[in-house]
Amino acid sequence: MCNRAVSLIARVVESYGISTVSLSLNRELSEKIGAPRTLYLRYPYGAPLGEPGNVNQQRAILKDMFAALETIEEPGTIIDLPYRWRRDTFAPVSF
Amino acid sequence: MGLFEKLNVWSIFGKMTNSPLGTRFQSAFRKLVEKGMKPLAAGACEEPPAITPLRKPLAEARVSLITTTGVHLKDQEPFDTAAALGDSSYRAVPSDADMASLYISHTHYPLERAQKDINVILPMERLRELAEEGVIGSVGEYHYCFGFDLHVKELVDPSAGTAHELARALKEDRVDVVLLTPG
Repeated sequence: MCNRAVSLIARVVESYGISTVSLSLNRELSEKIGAPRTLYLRYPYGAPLGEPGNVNQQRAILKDMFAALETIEEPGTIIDLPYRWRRDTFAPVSF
Repeated sequence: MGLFEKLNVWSIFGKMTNSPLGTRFQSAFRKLVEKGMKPLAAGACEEPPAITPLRKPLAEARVSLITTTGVHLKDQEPFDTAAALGDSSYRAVPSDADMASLYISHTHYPLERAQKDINVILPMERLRELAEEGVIGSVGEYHYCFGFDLHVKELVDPSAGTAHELARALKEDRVDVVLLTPG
């Protein structure tokens, strides 16, 4: 449900001339509402940026979010991030 | 509505209230919830969302976070987690807040990971680091946090919606980019 609110809020904020990037843990809901830019993760609820204390993982996902500002031109685009829950190791991330 | 059907809420509820009075109560309650859910169904948007390209380098951009994970300062009023349709209010959390001063009021997702490290739902510390490293220009004065909420109208209504209210606050703070995280 919170994925729905995220998309709705993103639509409003973007309409004020602010660029938004949303994470999603529920692709179906994100498809229904359509935020300006969405990155979908197959991660459990309660952990959109990954595992506690995994700084590299958190930075990697943030880097993907900032990259989406440049790569997504079509409003409503959903990118599926390739990460698998607990199966990836993340190297230090430089921007 | 789909979710309610999927979870078989009404049949469970029906079993719980299997008496003439219970049935009447159930029917009245169902009507009330469906009335409340109507704008939610309308939330399924036919129109494509607006899109605002970032017109400056990321290294000059001011960035804030919005989350629907129920984060707030310990001394702020907790979100109403008892209301069936949730709480459409939000809390402005200062972006320089001490992580130990934060609390999570939410009952619709597992909290364990976020309680260990709030950055997994609200990456405040990571954002501060990126500002220090010069990757982003600055962090907005506040991050904005919602709790569990199904009130679409209260959220997106152009005149009174809380999403509009905080979009105006973000504009005033000259925020260029907002990253949003669900629970």
